[in-house]
Order: sequence, then structure tokens, then C-alpha cells
Amino acid sequence: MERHNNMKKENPYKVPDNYFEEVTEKIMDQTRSSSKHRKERSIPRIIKPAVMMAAAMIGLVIISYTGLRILFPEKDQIYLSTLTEITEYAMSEINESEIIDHLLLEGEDFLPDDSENSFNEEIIEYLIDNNIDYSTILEHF
Amino acid sequence: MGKVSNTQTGTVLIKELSDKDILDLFRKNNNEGFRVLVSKYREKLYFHIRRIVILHEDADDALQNTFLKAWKNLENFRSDSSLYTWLYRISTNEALLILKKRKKEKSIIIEDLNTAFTLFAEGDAWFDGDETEKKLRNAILKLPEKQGLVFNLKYYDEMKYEEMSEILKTSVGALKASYHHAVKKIKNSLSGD
Repeated sequence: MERHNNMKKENPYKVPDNYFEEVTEKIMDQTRSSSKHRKERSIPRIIKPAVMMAAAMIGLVIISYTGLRILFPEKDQIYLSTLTEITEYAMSEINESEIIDHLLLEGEDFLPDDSENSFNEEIIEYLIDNNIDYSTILEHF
Repeated sequence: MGKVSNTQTGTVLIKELSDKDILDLFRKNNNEGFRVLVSKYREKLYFHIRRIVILHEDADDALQNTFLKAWKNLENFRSDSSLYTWLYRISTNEALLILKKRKKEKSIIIEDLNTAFTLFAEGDAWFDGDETEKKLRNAILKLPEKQGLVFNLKYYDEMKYEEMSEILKTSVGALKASYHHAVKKIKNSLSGD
């Protein structure tokens, strides 16, 4: 048994023989195995966080894209189909005879002045497109 | 600097190495530098721990844990504090952890801890002190934890208050007061016997 009196004050604590030399070796053995462990894990430890971050970013992009597609599916087509519906509805509501009546009531000089001999091109086109006979207009007039 | 050997000259050389020398050596050669660090500080740290935990086996555990922690963190050690106070801080924490573990294992309630520890210490096979030293040891064990730490560091390690302040993260003034109270209580305890 050893008694250590390295301290100036009396040290009543004793240790087994060669304790400090042995504990030093024990500690150095443990540091060696801890170093080995550190080296074996070092590469995965460096790469792993980077890979995880990259995977998280990709996942976020995929989720965002999928979410947007679910919330706003085929946006352009909806717009077009809506526009088509509106147009068709509007056209269905248009009554050509009402237009003609309106024009007659208003006293619009629907027919061009012979002397001028000019027709409103748009009116002509409209009449042609809708297959309205000129004589029909004349009868009303 | 020369190779470390087990001769008395070699041992004296290690003790004379400054912390800076040890750190420089560690950076050149981790194993050699760390061995020198362990050789320099093992006794000081061991007995500091031992005074807290009492039993040799517990002190042995805490000492090894201390140096393992130091090994893991020495690469990142910045000289904000000295190596000496850094090691003391780690060893104090390790010793207190062991105390907490023992308390849990034995289900000792706080109020009885100090008394229990004096009884506990009676069974210590590695205590070689005379009756006075035994009484002193028991009187220190009865102190509140921090006062006991302060007393040990001041009385046995003859540590400066500024260094103690770094280890215990307490102001110098508070440490001085703590030591003063500790001494008073110990004197009363010893004279009471």
C-alpha cells in the first residue's frame, strides 16, 4: 500500500500500489479505442448530414409541387372552359330579331343611303354570319 | 524537451512542463501529448475527486471519465481558461455526478446525506489517517456541497480564489465568504468533539 504525501497538507487517502501508472495505461487504451471509433465513423458522419439536408430539400420541392397541382389543377383549362361557357351563354341569350327591332325603333338609318352607297361592314358581316335575309329586314322596314 | 521516462528526472520534467508546452506537444502528437497531460495532472485530480467522493473505486471511475472527456475535447480547447482550471472543472463535475448516482442508488434523502457520508466514509478501506484527520474529513463531509468544495480547493490544493472562481463559476467574494463559513463550522465541529 502506498501513502501519498505529495501535498503539503497531510493526505490521509491511500491508493493501491502502482495505481497511478496503471490508471494512466487504462486511460491511454481507452483513448486509443475511442480514436479508432472516431476514424471509422468520420466519413459517414460528414456525409450523412449533407445527404439528409439534400433529401429534405428535394422532399420539400416535391411536396410543394404536388400540393400546388392538387390545389390548382389545370388552371389554364379551367379558365378557357369558363370563358367558353360564358361566350356560349352570351350567344344563346342574343336574339337577333330584338337587335333589329331596336334598330328600327331607334330610327336608325339601317339601310345605307343610296347616294352614299355604303354599308356598315360589321353589320353586313353580322347579317351574313347569322344568315339573316336582307328582304326580311326590308319587310319590317 | 526530451522523451518521457519513468526516472525521477523524467517525472520532474513532466511536472515542470507548462500547459502551453503540453498543448503544443498534443497538437504534434496526440498520444504523446495526452500521456504527458495525464501524467502531470493525475494525482492532483485524483485526490481532489477523492475528497469529494471518499471511496477509491468512485474516485477511480471519476478520474478516468475526466480524462476521457478531456481527450474528446482537447482539440477544441481554447485558452480562455487555463488547462489546469479546465481539468479541475471537469473532474469536479464528474465527482458530483458520481455522488448523485450514489445518492440515488442508496436512496439517501438530502438532509441525511452528509451524516450518511460520514458513516459511509468510516468503511473506507483506503483511508490511512489518524483520528484527527478522520474527524477533519467527517467535519468537511458535513458541510454543504459548495462549501466543502471551496474548503478542499483552498485548504488542500491551495488554489487561488481567481482560479477557483473559474472552476466553480462563482465570484471571488462569494468564495471567500464560503471558505470563511466553512472554516468556522469545521472548527466548531472539531472542538465540539
